[in-house]
This record gives sequence, structure tokens and C-alpha cells, in this order.
Amino acid sequence: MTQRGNALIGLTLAVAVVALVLSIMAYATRTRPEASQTPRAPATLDLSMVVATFTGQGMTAHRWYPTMLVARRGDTIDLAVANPDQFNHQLEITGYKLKTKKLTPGSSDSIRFVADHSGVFLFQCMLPHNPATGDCTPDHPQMRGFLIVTE
Amino acid sequence: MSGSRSVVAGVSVLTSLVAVALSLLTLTSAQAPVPSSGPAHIDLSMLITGRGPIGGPSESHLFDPQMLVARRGDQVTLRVQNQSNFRHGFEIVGYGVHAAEMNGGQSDAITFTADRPGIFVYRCNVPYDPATGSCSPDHETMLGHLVVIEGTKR
Repeated sequence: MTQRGNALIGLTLAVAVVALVLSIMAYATRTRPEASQTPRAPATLDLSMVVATFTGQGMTAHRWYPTMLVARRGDTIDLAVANPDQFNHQLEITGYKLKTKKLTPGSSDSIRFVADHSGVFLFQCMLPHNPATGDCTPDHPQMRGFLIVTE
Repeated sequence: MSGSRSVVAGVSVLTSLVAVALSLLTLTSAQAPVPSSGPAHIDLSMLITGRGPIGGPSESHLFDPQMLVARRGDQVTLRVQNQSNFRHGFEIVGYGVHAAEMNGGQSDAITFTADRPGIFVYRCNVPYDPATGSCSPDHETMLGHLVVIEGTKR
């Protein structure tokens, strides 16, 4: 009985020591997310955006210009949005819960935010086409662009 | 004898506790890099437009937007629309992606997965031929770039 007990306790100690050695090895080689990266300072992206119109083939297309915005996580974006078009538009960045005020013809607004989560985010006109009120245009669903925030 | 057994048992328990603590530390620190969200669907219009003096003929033709950005793995849909007066096409060189030839006023949609990182030119793939109304003298400058970046940190 005592001998079996001794053997059991020896085995327990051996297992504990192996567990300790393995955990020390795992801890020593754990991934350090930021340590190996070159540190970088967040930037401020000072940008203007307009509603651009393109005419041809008897129609006028309305688009956000630029269509693609790229930032790194942590960067600040200062976006001045102007509407030189003759209809009302309103920019919203879905996923960031941001929007400008309603942009009547000739007006502008600016939004400033920190791109604090990475991913691909749609921005679009949030005023559905309504000829009676002068809101947006028949190509409303095409007034889209994307903000891409990288790590 | 019983005393030495107690000591060994105590050391075993202590060693196990340290091992468990280290394991927990390792597990929590390994989760630090936050992976960005999964593949996105980038659904955009791609206009082929002509520009020139007001009331006059178009002198330059271009793609709008002139730059597309996607992360590797993202799905891209382009609704190509030809607003110019000539026949044009759209191809992404080196990506095996192209739209149908489009007369003025026509459109086509293409969808592909940005599965290779890099910078790729897109251009009109209908050579200039005034006899058939194909493209325009500025054919060589109807260019844009697709930039496919690595989306998440390695």
C-alpha cells in the first residue's frame, strides 16, 4: 500500500514537472502582438469629398468622389463633404454610425472621427430618391463607396 | 516516511498551480491580435465617362473610380456602365476578369474574389477603331488600378 502510494505520488510529481516545463516553454514563446512591430504614430487624414456628376447618354450619374477611403486603425479622419449638385444628398458611413447633416445644393459639412475598428465599411447617400422634395436622384442606389480600415 | 511523502505531495501541488497559472497567462496573451472582420462584399458602380468642353465632343475618357482597394479574400462586384458615345470594355490585367463589350448606354456586372494581393491595372480592352466606333484616341490612357492588400496582420 505504501509502495503503491509512493509510486502514485512520484507519478503526480513527474506529471506536474512536465506540465510546468511545457507551460514555461509556451509562455516564453507566446506571441507578442505589438512588440515586434515598428511603432507608428496615428495619422490625421484631412480629406475633402464631393458629390461628383457625370453626364452622358442622356443621363447624369451622381457619385461620391473619392469612392474609396483607406486608413489604418487609429488614424483620425477629417472629412469635409460638399454638395455642388442641384439635389439634396446626405452621406452616412454605415458601421461607424456617422452621418453628415442633410446637404442641400451648395452646402457642405464636415465629420471628424477616429477609425478605431478595422474592416470594410460602406458609405452611401441616406436620402432616398424623392423628386417632390429634391432629395437625391434616380441613381441613388449607386451612390456608394467604401472605407477600408486596415490593422 | 510519511513526512517526506507530504513534502513531495506539496511540491506537486505547488508545481501544478504554477503550471496552471502560466498556461492561463499564455492563453490570454495569445488572443491579443484582433483579427479584422471576415471577407466583405464590395459592391460598386464603375462608370465609363467622357469629358470635354461643355457642349462639345468628349476628348478624354476615364473610369470612375480610378482606384479600387480590397483586402485579400474580399468579394468585389462592379456594375460597369458605359456613359460615353463609343464602345468600350473593362478588364483587370492579370486577374482574369473582364466585362462584356459595351456600346454607349450599355452596362454589365462582374463579380470576382480578390484572392491575390498586389496592384493590378484595369483598362479598356477594346482597341481604338474609328470605323466601328470602338473606343477613342485616348484608349491607352483609360487606366485605373486595383490594389489588393493583406487584410489582417500575420
